[in-house]
Amino acid sequence: MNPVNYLYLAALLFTIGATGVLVRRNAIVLFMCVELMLNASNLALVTFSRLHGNLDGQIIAFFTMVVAAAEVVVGLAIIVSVFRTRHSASVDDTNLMKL
Amino acid sequence: MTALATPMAGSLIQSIDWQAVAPPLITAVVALGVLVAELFLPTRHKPLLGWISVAGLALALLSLVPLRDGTRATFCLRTATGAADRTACSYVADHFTLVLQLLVLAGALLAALLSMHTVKDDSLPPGEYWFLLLSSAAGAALLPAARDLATLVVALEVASLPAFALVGLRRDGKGGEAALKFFLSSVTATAVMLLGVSFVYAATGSLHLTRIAAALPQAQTQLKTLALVGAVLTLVGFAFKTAAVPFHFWVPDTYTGAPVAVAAYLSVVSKVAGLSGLALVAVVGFHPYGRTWGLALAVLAALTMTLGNAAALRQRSDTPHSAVRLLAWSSVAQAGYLLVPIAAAGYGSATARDPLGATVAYAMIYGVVNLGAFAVVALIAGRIDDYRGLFAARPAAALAMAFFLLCLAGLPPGVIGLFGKVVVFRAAVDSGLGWLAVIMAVNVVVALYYYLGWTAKLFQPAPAPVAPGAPEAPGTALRIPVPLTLCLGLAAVTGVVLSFAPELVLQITSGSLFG
Amino acid sequence: MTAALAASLSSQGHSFLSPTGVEIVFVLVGLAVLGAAVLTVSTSQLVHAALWLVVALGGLAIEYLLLTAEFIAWVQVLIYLGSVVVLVLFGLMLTRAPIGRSPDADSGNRWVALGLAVVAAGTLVTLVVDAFRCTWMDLPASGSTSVNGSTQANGEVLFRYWVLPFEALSVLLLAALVGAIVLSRRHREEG
Repeated sequence: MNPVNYLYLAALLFTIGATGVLVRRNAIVLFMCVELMLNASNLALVTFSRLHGNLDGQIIAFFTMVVAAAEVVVGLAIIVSVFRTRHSASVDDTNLMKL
Repeated sequence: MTALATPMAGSLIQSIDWQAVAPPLITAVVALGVLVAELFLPTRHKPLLGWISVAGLALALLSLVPLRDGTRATFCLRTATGAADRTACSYVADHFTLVLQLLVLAGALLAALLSMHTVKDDSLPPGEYWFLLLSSAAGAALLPAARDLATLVVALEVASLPAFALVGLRRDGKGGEAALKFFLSSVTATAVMLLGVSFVYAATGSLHLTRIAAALPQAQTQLKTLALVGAVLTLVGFAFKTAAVPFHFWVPDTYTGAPVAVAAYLSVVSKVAGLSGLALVAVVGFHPYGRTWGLALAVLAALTMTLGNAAALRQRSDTPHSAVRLLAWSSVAQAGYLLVPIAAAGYGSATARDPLGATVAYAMIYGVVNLGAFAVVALIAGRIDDYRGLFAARPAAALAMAFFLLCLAGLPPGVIGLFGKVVVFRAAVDSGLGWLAVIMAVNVVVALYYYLGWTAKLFQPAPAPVAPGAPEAPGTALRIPVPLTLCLGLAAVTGVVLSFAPELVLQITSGSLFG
Repeated sequence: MTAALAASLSSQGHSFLSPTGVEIVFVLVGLAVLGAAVLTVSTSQLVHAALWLVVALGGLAIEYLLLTAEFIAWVQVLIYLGSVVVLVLFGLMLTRAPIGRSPDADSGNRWVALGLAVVAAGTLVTLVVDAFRCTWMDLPASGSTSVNGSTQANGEVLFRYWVLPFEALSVLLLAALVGAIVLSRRHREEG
């Protein structure tokens, strides 16, 4: 199969996630969008791993997944602790994206 | 040529040179030890944990000594015959690694001394605090030694993930917001970086930096653009940690929301870790594209120092937390200076003098001085206006602060700051980036305004005590806590010694750091 | 199932015109993933966003299977579907996300962002098209372990060449655990 199909999928998925990061303002939804971006990178890595005929790409994709799992744990702890002081998970309320 | 070309050769597990990996390993083991020890220590002995952590970091620093010939490498790939291939290793302890590990661990040690004050004042949970600080330091110490993209990504995460939690530790609600902003932007940068890593892997079929550098010139023509975009995106993740423009917006809010010691840690250790990753990926991995990313980094450096200084100029001195905010913007501007020699390393032709040495030398000077300045801020805190009359109240602290600020500005008697700037300057001019040197000169002059303004405040007479509870008001204890004194003293003595004997640091710039 | 897919992959020629079973599955699942991703990003109902995320990530697991990356596919199911999404749902519950529409979900700069997104998507797609238009995935001789992403092959490579990042990850996981505990615990002490 032409690998470019998988790469289309990865590129589009990455852009969808990136758009979400720009558009959405709820911290948890933002986080889900970042997960989509990470998954797009993973798909690209696994495709390239297949293309090159070595497993390095799959190994780093595996590392990425573990890193993402660790991030989600800390991230949600932060979000919940912010919510408890603010009673909202919206990023705009907290003036967070203020430059 | 890739890992799988040698199936089933040799033993199943990589051999490990334990002595070479000792610096990050000791740090991680001490982190674990502190976490366990906290369970068994009665509350009144909890401050002991801080001293254990400091001792652990000192031990990790000592473990650098037997490695000083800089020839060790471990976690290597194998050649076709099954022997270790010393050109493609995951962990290399060359001179670049050792100097940066020295800087990272010493910075963490000073930050740990600062933290003892913070942990007690803000009543943070001690065991967890020290564990997180030490594990982040272990990641930061691993990063300069890593020579493949997987280890670099993981080490970067180990360095930053505990930092998110550390930033969020403050109770007043600002900490959580600061951590959230830091976290979300950092995670996005990681995702972008991973896409870059995948493109680089696509173009070269390898993750080890030396093999990437070897494969890039031979890549098929249609893969060249992909590799270039991959290189740029990979650098984004590290540029974020370095707080280079346009990835700097998290800096002031995060620094003010975090406990002061954590802000100091982020401004030195985290920044240096990001910088070393940037330098490694750019100089070792993407060497064949040096001209392109050299120019890109030069533009980035110019933007970073200009915007950082502009924001620092606009910082008002009477708003809450203005001291930390000013140091935050100043650290953004300093990141710009730190990027200059890396850009020079890519842009210029190979010369006898390795421009990277200038970055490392400047980073050492910046690290010591900046931690010293943060130590004074931890002592006084608050607004810049509160520093008025400090010389009358606390002459030693005021003199130290004046010295640190003058070093950051690059004026005598902070001679070492001046030397650092000259070295960076020379690197830019040597490699043909004259315009960048001019921008940097303008920026150095502009920065004098706010550094000198703050210094002058120290020696002004104290305002009439209209504001009750002002920090320097009589009645507050004038005794400085021991760990803070130690931190201040160490930073000040190092700064003064280096001012008298700058060759201690500047000799780094004379030779090549790699190999 | 994977073996069958691999077999159908290897029997297929270099033709754009005659789609094989794998290609049909790929296209269908790929469209589902994209649709679910768009809905995750655009829906204003937070819980629905999390559920669409499940569909997108599950679809990706199937794509990994099509790529014969068996180990990664199952790790995807275990880590993403099993823990990440569950944690996100817990997060939504703990922050008492409204079940219905939530007004704070969108920011004002939507059109700028959409424009940027189209430009970025165009750039990325042209980039990969340029690079890989004429490349075909070479399939390994049967029995070779080099491209087979089985758990055994992955484990062997992991412990032969990637021990260092693997060990570093253990520090990362412990730090994440302690960090999460310390962040959520202190509020309980405050009452």
